[in-house]
Amino acid sequence: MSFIYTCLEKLSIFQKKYKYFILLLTIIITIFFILGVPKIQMETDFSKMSPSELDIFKLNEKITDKFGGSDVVVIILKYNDSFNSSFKEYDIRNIEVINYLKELETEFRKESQVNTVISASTYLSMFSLNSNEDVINSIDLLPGISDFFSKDYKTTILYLTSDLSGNQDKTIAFTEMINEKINLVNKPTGIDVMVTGTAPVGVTVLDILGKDAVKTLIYAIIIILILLFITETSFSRGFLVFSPIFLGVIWTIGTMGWLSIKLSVATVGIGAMILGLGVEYGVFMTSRYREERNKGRTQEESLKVTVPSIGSSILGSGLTTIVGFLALTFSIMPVLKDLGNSLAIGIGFSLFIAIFISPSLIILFEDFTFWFSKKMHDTYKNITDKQGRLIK
Amino acid sequence: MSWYDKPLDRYSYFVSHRPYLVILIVVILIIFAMYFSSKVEYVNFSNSDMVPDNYEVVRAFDLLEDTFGNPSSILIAIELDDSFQGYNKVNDLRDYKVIEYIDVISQYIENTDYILEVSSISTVVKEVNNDIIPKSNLEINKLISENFIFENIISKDYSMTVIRISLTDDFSEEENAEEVVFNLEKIISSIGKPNIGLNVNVAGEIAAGPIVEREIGPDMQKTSSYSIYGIIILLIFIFVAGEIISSFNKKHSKKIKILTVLGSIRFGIIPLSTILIGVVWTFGYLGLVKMGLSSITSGVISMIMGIGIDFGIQTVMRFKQEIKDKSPEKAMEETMKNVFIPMATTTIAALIGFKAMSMGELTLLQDLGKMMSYGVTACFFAAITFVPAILVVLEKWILSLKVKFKKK
Repeated sequence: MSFIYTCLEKLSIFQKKYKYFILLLTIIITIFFILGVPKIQMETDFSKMSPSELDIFKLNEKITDKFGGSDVVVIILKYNDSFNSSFKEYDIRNIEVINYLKELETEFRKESQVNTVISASTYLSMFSLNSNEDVINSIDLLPGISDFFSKDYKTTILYLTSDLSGNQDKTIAFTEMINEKINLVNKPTGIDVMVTGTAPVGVTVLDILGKDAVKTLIYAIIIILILLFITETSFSRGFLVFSPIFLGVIWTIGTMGWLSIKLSVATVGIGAMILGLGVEYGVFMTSRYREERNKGRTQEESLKVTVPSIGSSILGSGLTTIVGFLALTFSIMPVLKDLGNSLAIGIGFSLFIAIFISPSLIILFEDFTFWFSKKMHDTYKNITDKQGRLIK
Repeated sequence: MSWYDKPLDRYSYFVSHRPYLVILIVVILIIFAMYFSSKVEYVNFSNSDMVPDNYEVVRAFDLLEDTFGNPSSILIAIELDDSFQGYNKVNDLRDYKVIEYIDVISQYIENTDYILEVSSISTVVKEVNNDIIPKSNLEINKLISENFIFENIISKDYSMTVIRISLTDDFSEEENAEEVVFNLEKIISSIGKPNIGLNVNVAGEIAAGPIVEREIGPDMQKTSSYSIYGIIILLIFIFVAGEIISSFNKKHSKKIKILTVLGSIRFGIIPLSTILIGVVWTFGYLGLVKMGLSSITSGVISMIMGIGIDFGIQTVMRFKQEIKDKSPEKAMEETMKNVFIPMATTTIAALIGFKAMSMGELTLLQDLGKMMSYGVTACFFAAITFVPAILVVLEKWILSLKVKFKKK
């Protein structure tokens, strides 16, 4: 530990001497990571979150290869309740509904990304249908077709399969295509059309992931800032403690973008977690520095005490936290691996920033505050002098 | 003087002077927690469970489930075994021996709980051929090539076929999937497979759930073991290694040297109690509030360990500084007065982060946030109760031993 202590002592001298260089370096590194932020991708394919090394997932993958798409979309056709009540109980075994299904099927079959389309209409295509009675009689002739109708004959379904391989752009495009086709074909009166399945759920998850990532981060920022304003009893000092951990979040998200670590249901709250866990390092560093300055020590002397003592203690606690998170990389669950890696990176960055960058930022902030208050004082003095001369 | 100084002084005095009482309370809580932790269940989540109910895709999914039963099906995959070397090996699944075997399996499955309908190559062959499975492979080939309905059941290269099993309305993926998978596996193993080179396995999304569920426990054990090994190695570096080196440089008797080393080991071990107790309490609480662990939330143990160990380290490190010139009780009083507030602040900051996670819409994220909050809070309480109490007790005991050895 004494070796670490000596190294950190030397570091504190460097931090005081080359504070502008450290600031410049921090800005450059931050710009590099900011460029990685837009590259971040969302993981919407639930199959990618499963442990692919287990035999069952290998087998499921094989089945997908042999039989085509694992992405199933179900289009539900249902008479809406108001229509049902005005026309008493309406039966979905209706010629208009069957023709509508047929038209939809024809439209979907035109699309290359659609592997299979199947509905009651697929089976009924072998009959010549002209009336509702024809539909009902034909259905009676094909017992297997009843699976496409609900028991009360108010609902029917159409299945679509595709192999989107968890591709975000493909999933969005596929879902948009389905909605476009549904809007393109004129639906029979009183029919509600609902869409569900892996692709629409994936698009919804994508939407929620993006919103949640921003929402949880904003909530964490606001609450932690309020906490820091209260504990530091100053807005500027609150921001001073906050800025390094915020940099830690940017660096982490940037790294995830550059390393193609996708934002998933497990890693979406990473920003909030890093803020919550990393804030202590900054708090310890600034409060100890202030303590030393209050004892009458110079900037250099204060840093020489603060950086080794706080640095070695937060290094110990930070490394244990990183070890705990890195243990998740041994999990069979890919999302846990990503979560462990991302959190370890986040805490690693927060620790690095607190030890290597924060001390220089504290000095620069102190210098700026001194310069600013001196300038304000001089301005005030000039004004009062002028006023004094005018009065005279 | 802050508002919390007085209660903090009182608490510090209590924990330092009544260590046995504190340990007793902690042990009672551990026993309760262990009882409730046995009630923690591993749960399987379906994809739609991750999305809140107010989205149309989820409403549509629920409607589908209510009206048509569970839309996902369980499959049994029958494929050609490439490694099979027997003379009677089949190279094409359109073989009457294969279809007859599938027919037997299909009939057994139909009579199993929660099974609505079974669709397989044998059921479809029978459907299109007056309920008869032809004994001629040529005839079977003809039937299959003439009916597009087989496309969903047998692969184009005829090396794989699936039995599609639809489930009844009362089937619940969370509650009954394991039972159904178990029954299907039992049927496969109990029906004599013809010795013609076939691989038969349960497959499909629903079947994967219980299989992943079985892996959660061992996986959690693996990650938490790695986490604890890593933490122990770091604790050795932080507390023990330096003490050993400095102890052997000093001119003490062998017994005193060994005692010093053992003493430093206790500083390395005691922080671990924070995470062990913290994890037991967390699990006890999860059992009490009936919160199940899924494959994703199972990672919380390792995370709680990584975060919670800091509290133990802080208490022990400060106590090591204070004990140099004070009695164990006084040293602990000072320790508690100094570490309580920073630890409480750290806990609050971490809880804020986790609370922000539960403000998201994703249910899994909310669960993860809640579990982490429970874990960090439990570790904090372990660090301000058991850790100081055991430190005082052990320090007093070591001091009495040292006096004994010095007298000798």
